[in-house]
Amino acid sequence: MAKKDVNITINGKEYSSKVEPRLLLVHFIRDVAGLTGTHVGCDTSNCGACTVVLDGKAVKSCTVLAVQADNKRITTVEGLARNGKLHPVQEAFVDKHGLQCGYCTSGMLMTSFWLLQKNHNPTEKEIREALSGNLCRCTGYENIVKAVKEAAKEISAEQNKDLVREEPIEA
Amino acid sequence: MRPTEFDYFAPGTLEEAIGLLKKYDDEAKVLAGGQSLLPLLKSRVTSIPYLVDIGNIDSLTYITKNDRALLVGSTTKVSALENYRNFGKNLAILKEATASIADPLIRNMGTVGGNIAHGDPGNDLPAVLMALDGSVTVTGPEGQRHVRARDLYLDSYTTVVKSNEIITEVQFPDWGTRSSGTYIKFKKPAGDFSIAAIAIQLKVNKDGLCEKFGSAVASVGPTPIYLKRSSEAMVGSKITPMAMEKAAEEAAGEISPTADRDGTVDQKRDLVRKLFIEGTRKSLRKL
Repeated sequence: MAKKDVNITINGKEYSSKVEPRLLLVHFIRDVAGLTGTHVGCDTSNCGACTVVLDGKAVKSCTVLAVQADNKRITTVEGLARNGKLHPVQEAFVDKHGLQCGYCTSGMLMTSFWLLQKNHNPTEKEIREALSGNLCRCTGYENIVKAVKEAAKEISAEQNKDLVREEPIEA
Repeated sequence: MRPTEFDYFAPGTLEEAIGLLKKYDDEAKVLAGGQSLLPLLKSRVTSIPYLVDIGNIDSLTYITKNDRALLVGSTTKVSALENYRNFGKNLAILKEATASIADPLIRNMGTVGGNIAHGDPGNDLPAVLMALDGSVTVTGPEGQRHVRARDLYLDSYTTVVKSNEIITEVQFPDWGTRSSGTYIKFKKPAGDFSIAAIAIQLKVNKDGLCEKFGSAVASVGPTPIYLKRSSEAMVGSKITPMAMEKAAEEAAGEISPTADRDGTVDQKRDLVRKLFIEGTRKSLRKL
């Protein structure tokens, strides 16, 4: 079986490798790129622990072949923080205790990150619907939903602050 | 879990894709989003020597309209169709059905054509396409042909599409004024397949008589099932509670459910009877 050359940009960095076509994207991310923040949970397309953002959309990386992601851009949990500062969605999960064991957390964060990019002010129903493909066996979801709401507030406040900052300083 | 080994092709054009399918024939299979196929390969329920990925053929990704139908390119992601803003009341059924498929992450990768081509009797879009009396365009080495959704499914995971053909477009007919419909999915936890699901589309004339009626069900037989007798029974008269009851009774007899952990055969017939009435009422309210 012929191996395939793939080139995948993960968190802005290109990773090239010759891979078996049957290699799953999650294994490319963990084993080839060495980014182990993305977890393998159920491995049956149910739990969402392996969620990454592929070309702007959250997907389950255990149900995508690495070759399908050739020449595409991916964001993993390692790509959320900027210059050592956690992303607002990460801050909110810490503040609101949106995790216990942490196994599902990177997937929860990536789906939340994707949701907040397309919908800056989601309702509780929209948050729960968006997270319906991510399972958590610890929290009962309450604090995860609170964290996403908090992150939404934080992000809009942050954006407003930027708008203020863009005002000319000198009149 | 890993699939057994396979060779993989990512053609950039439809012609190349069909050439590959022709070359490898029964040993090849089309990969679109992979959200149904990859779990089967990973669990080794099936193994396929040659996968032809049509995900890079840009000409197959579109949503457009003509005066009769909404036309959807087969590799259009389910989430793209779900987020389409111009369904109107006539095609409200599509919004409900797409939003009920698996979960948002699967819908971001899974395709409209894949959902229809895969042939899983639990899939949602086949029942919708059957209720609407929609069709698909199938392209192969000999050119294009059109297949009515109601003639598409032969058995579980088996359609009339040949191994060297690809479903390239799906046509969801617009039934025009005074038409609407609904999709009701009776299911277990979030993200799961349905125990039974029903698609209903109806159209009434100025006097309130039922002009057209289409209904189909998922998960209660080896294929999605068009409820022919009950749909035809509704046409030509007022949609009264008694007419609904009578047609619903007919619907319960048109399905072929199997007993499993979700219920007995009788329970499933009763469920479809209730879904038929609920769906018809809901569709009427939307007119």
